[in-house]
Amino acid sequence: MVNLRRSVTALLLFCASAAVAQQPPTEDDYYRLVTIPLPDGVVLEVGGMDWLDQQKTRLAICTRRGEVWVLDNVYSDQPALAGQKLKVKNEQGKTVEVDPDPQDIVRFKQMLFGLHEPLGMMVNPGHGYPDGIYMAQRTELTRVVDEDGDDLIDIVETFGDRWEVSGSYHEYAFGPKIGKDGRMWITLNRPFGGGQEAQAYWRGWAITIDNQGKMTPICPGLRSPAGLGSNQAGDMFYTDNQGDHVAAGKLAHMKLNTFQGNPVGLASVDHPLSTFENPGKDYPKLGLKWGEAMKVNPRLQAPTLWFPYPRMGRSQTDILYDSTKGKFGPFQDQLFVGDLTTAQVMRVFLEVVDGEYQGVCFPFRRGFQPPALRMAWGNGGSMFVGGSSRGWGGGARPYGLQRMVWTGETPFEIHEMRAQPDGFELTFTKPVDPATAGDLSSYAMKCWTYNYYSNYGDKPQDEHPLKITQAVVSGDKRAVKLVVEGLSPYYIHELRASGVRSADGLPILHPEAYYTLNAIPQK
Amino acid sequence: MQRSFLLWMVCGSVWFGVSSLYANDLGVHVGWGSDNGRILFEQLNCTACHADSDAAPARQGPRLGAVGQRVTPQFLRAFLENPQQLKPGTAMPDLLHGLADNKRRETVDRLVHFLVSLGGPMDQRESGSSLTQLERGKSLYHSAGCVACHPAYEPPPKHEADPATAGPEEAEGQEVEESESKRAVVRHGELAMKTTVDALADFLADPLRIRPVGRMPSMNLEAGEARLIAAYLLRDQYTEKESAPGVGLDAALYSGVTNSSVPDFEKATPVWEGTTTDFDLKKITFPDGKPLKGNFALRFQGLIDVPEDGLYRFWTKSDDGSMLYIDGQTVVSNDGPHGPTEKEGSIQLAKGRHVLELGFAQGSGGFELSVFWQPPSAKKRSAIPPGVLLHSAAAMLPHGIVEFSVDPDKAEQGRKLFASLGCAACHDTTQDTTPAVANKLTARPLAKLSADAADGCLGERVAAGRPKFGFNAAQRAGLRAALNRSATAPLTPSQMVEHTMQSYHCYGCHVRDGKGGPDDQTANYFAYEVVVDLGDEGRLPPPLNEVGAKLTETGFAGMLFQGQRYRTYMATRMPQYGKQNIGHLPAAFARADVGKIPPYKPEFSNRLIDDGRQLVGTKMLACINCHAWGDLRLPGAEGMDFVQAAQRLQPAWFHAFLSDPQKLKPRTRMPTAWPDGKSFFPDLLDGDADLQMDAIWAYLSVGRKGGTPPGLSPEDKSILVPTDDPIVFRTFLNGVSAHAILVGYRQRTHVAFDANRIKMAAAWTGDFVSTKPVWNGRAGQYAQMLGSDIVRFPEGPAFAVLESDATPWPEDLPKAKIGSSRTREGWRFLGYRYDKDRNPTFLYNLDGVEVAETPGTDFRREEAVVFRRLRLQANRSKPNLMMLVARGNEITRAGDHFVVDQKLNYKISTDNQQEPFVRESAGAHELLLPIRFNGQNVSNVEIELTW
Repeated sequence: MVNLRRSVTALLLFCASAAVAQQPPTEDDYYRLVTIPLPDGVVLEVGGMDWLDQQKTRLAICTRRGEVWVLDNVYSDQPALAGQKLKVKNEQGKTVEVDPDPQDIVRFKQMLFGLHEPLGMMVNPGHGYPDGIYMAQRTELTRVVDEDGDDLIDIVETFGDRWEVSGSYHEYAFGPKIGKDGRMWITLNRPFGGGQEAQAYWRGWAITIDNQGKMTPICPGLRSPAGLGSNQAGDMFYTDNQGDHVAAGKLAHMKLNTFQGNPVGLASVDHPLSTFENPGKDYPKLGLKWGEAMKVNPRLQAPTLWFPYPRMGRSQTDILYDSTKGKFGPFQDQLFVGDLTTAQVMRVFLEVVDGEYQGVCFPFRRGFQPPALRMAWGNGGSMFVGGSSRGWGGGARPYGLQRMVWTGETPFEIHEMRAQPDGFELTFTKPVDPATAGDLSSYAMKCWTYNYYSNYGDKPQDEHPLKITQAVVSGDKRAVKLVVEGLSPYYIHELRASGVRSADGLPILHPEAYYTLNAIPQK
Repeated sequence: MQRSFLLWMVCGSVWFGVSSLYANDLGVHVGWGSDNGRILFEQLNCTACHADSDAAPARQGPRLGAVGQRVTPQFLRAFLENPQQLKPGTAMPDLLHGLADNKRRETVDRLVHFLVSLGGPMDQRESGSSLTQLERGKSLYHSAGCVACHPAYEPPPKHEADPATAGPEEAEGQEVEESESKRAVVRHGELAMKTTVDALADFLADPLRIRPVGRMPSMNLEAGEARLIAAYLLRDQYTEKESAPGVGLDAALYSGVTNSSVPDFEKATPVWEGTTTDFDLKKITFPDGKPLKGNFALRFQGLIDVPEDGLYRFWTKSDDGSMLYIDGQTVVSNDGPHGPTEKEGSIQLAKGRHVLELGFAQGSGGFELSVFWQPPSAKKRSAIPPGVLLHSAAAMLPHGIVEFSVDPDKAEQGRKLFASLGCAACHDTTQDTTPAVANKLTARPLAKLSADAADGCLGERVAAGRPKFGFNAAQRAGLRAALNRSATAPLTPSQMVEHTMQSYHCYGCHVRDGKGGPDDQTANYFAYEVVVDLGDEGRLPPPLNEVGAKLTETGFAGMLFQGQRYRTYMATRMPQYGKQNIGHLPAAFARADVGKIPPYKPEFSNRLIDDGRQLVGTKMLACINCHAWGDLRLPGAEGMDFVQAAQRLQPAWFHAFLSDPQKLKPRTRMPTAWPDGKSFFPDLLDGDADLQMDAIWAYLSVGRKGGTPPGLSPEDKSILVPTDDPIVFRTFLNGVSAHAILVGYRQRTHVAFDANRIKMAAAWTGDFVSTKPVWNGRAGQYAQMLGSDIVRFPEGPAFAVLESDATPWPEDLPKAKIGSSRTREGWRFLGYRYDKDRNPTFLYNLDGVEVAETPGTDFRREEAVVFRRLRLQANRSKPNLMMLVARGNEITRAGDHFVVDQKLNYKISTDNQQEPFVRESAGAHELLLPIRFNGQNVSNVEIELTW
């Protein structure tokens, strides 16, 4: 029976490959999704994920309902629940029910209940932190420990609780994640409703907590920083959600003594622990385009990149850089960013220009069942994606967990997009067809910027097309240099390379790219 | 339907007539056995005329203070002319039999004028009813228990033979009439002439108001139910030749005529027509009984009776379309295909009745309809109350209506006759401020009566001016015997029980000591309210064999005097005869039944409470598979609520019943949980059957404080219910903190810790907490402590270093420019640790003193309890450290504990001779505990708070 089922799976995969030849491939052909079934009554509003063991077999999950679960047997391609039957077709084509293999049965065990909306998780983080499961609850960074290995938490330790909470539902705390400083970073949502001003210290800040539990505020200006994470170099980024003072979803680099743009956090600068000195009474000056705002607002941090709304998501979430060394495909060291409302994962390539990160985002994978709130690397080139849409919509299901698996097929994608003094250089995941890649009509570009003002979100400002004058294909057919007229700093530069084909005749899986050109390189 | 109804009316009348034939032989319908003279003597109120002692005679006849409002003149006239003829079996004697015909007619006329002047004449044309209501009244009349005493007008429903019943085979094909003749029933008389639907409904809702003797008991009817039965009893009044307003609206259901918009109803044919009391779509089904679904439309038509002049606002919320018209004007236009959509409109209306129509249409998908209004003087909107919506129903007109107006002179003559004829001896005519007419008729005192006098009340030829009852020979004999034996001699408890049960015809429903119970025919009328697998036990009133050893005083009172419905699955209700009439019965039962159940005193301990809770839960005996627990029940569990059991039942009976249910209640569905005295659960309480029963009793005896049984959860799934381990839950808690950590216990007493101010903040009993405010949607609300009796611990830090005993208690650090008030600098909350029972210990550091505080609770019968066990460890000398245990207006010492504001009791135990003391500070009393450390710098404190 087992063999029968395996052969059915193989047959399905074969059919999928066969279809490639006839129809343009889809995301499913490269990254497929496996849904983890949930037992009755389990509302898995994933808020954070990490592995209890180094072998990554036991997946710990904290939820917005304050539970901590551990899941075993999460890697099956046909995951089932205890007591369930699997429906398969037999040789005669009839659907029959079979018992799942024991290793296909996902086991759920609740380790703890009652935390206050934990929205991030790290297990045994090293760097001098005592072992345990770390989670940011609304009110504190908490370390929980299962002392006797019975999968029940015995100790709930307050590791750091020096930030404040006034009681607004919008006062979420996200994290922790560890940066190259070896400290745990946490981002703190601003309150919402009422006067919308801060009513407690450190709302709208990023903070760190060291391995002694000491808190250091890093930077104010965050609005709704639902995700944070480092790049390969250990620099810390966060995502913010469109809203007041935030024109569109964005990714930004968190650094000491910078201001990320939302003024709620400035209410805390008089606190003795503050690391940010307010440049002046009327800071920040609002009502300007971002390029202008950067000139008159010292220490204002420009977004590393913008996620144009709504194509590139409506509420960006987790940040995860590709540390799989190729097991997840050709995007080593690039960032993946989730989006809750559109239930997709996007791809980000960053470069440093004039000492600051900037870069480009691409669509990557859509169609997740749960809203893509949290991501975690599993074994064998797979990524777990889970989330909860509570109150904000998104996803086909309000909560849940899926595993995204690379099929081993390399998609034809723009691999990197780098700014040049006179345009952009594109590299591709596969060799291009020189004819289409060298044809100017294969490309279209336009650009726009946003206002920095207090309104809730912004439309593209000064949107206009850009003229591409040259498209030069490299000798190894892996790169194309585009010469573009009229590059503008602090503008988002959108590229559509719809006409480009790979050497084997495929269109680009996601031909659009959005480069936030804060600075134009000099050489 | 109309045709079949008429047919049914004809048939009903036929056998009504047949059974009437037997009436004259039955004599006065008082003593159910006909020959029990003592009962006749009491119930006929003989001492009202024949004084027994110095005690003022009681008037037991119907109160006539407002008789003109409820009885028609034509009936009064006919009834006074010849009571026995109009209402065979009536206890009303004929007092005018000695008068010549013309004198008799004149006397009756004067009496009628007098009686009608008492609140009348009534409006006989204001009641209407629909055939649907008559049908529903018919079914209610026959199932609610009325037929235990009154005639049945319909053949009984067939019941599946209860397989547990070992009785004789059901007699098939038995004629209703035949059975009817065998039992004594109280006939309704010429009701159709007597009154109107509205007036009869008023009477049925509270019969004891008019008839204080209680032989017509209150059946615990809702107002609407009383009207249905009234309409049914007056069904002969139904006439379609005239119309009158009936309660509720006409409704018509159409199928397949709409595409989400209200159709032109005139062009369509309804699939169903009837009346409905409101706009609740759940109450309407397709003719085949299937719920509404798919493409349908509804038309509601009738009148709206508005209470005042002014602007009325109306709202409709409908999915899909709806249109509301009043007096032909569109008031709310909410038509077309859409999801639940609310629309509003308003209209100026004059006080009185207006024509209302509402059309509703459903295309596909979900559907709903609700209608609200706001009258001019109402502060907010509400559903339109019942009684305001009327439909034009067929009139229910009393028979023999004649125009009548009271002639004051005749009425005055009638009043005098009422006194002189002796009517006033039995009937109280008190009317608002007008006192009752005093009786002027004198008769021999009881002691001087001659029971054998040929012209007395019992004689063959009753003399003129003396009351002529319709006694039969047996009744006469019985009364004479009773008089010779002294009808008022004391009775033994058993006699008293039997006597009372006979007087009020309790035997019509209940068996006791082999006597009574409904006959096979009557038994079949008793029905289920909810179909439940309880066999006959689910529909027949229970036997009363040892009820005096079964029910407590509370149980009797609930059953007999408070109208409690314990057996919610039964269609019939326990009639209410009035405490003034049968108040003696519980004590009589108790004394009569002494020794019927072996005495038994259950063990009780707090530990047993939880064992009992486990036993009734789904993991063990699963009693909750059948029994409700308070307002919680598993789907299909229609059995009695056993939270009330310990209040209702005596422990010895409970023990005897659990030990062998069949012995006390043959054929009961209650299973034997300890067959041959052996437990299914040998590990619990060493498998001791008695102790396990005691545990269940202990659990039930503390009511809801015993905690929710495993397996049950509230209908509101958002409520967290601890059934085994404590539940720890951190949340924004209203009135406590954004850093609250709640601990819920299965004992239904809970605490909340504030991790911001670092102290125990509150305790409460009842339900724990609902997740709804903090889990639903964006959850922009605070969680609430559910339940009642919230105890808040004092404001300010829990501990402080005081320079002297007089130093004022410090306050929390105030809020800065932003931020929340926090506790002292240098204090840190460290988290919590679970013990093996998953109970948390809170850990905190007070500037060098490590504190481990473990909350807890226990099952207690009479009170709620919270323990706080604190272990303090100082890492350096810490003099003058004080704990603020309580603050209140008044704290007094009472033995080993302190009483705060006469409500909270604090008992403090310490291990280092620390002496708590009360001080006055800032206008309040404070209970302080000095913390003294031992050689290891450790101090242990336990505080027991009960309330």
